[in-house]
Amino acid sequence: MDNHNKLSDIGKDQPFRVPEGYFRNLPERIMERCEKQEQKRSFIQVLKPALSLAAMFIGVALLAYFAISVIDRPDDQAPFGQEDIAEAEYYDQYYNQNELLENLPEKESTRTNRNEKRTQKYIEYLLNEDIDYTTLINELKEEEQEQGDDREEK
Amino acid sequence: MSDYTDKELLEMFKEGDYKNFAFKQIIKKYQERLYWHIRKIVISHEDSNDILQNTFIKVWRGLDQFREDSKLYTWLYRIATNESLTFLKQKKKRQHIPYMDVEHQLMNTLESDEYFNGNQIQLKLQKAILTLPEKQRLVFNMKYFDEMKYEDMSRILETSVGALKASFHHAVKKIEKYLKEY
Repeated sequence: MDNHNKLSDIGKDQPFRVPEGYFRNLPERIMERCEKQEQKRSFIQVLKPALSLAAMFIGVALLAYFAISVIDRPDDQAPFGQEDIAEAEYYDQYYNQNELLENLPEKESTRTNRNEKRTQKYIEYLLNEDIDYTTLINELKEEEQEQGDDREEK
Repeated sequence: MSDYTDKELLEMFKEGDYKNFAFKQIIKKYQERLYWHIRKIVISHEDSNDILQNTFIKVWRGLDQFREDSKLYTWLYRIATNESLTFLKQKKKRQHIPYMDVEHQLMNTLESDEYFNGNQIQLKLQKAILTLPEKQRLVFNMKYFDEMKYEDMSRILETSVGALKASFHHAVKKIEKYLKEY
């Protein structure tokens, strides 16, 4: 065990060393690497405008391609092709008066249904208000009689 | 050692005509100081050599954008420090070793290093330094061996002068305790 317990006893001498001639040759080695970096960088800088131009052309070409493919869409992909139009014309030609007449009874039956529904509503109303058929008839008769008396007085 | 001032070398570099000459002068002027700074962090000569070269290549790439509101020498030190710490982090990741074991591994490197020619007490001091936390280790080396001003250290490590002084004080205490105990 030694007695160097204080930093001041040890001193500040550098205990490490380097290989012979290390610092003499280092600047050259670093400069070589820097120059290689520079060449690589200048090569990229030379290529950069060409690469951006190429990228721009590719972009424009792609845009043009999509635009043309939308405008110049083939007939089979159009929303209404010639076949659709021909089919519509065919049905228009053969849709005659008979077909119109065939639709009429359907409308008639619709009207009947509407009347039935209305009657049903009236019945429901009378039931809800607890008005029986006899009372209703008697009231109607009385009203009719009153109207007849009024007419006679006039 | 270069006879040119940093300002003159920077002007020459930026003007372009003497770019390579100016940069070579910068390397010559700072290579030793930066090397020893790196070496004390990573211990091995081979690793220090790689880190130093990478540091100068980064400087070469970034010197055009260097703003002269800070000293060239503090800027160089900052790059070298960051490169060294990044190297240690990567080493830890690559070898899947816990961070504390990095210091342990550095101690082994120190003992087997063919480029270490210190005596037993110097070896003990280096081992004591390796027991310190990373930031304290940096502060201790920069203050004790490089005799750097706290103001410059503050710019390099981006830490307040007060915190650096406290860090150095704790580091000295720990080292002296280690020296007594081992």
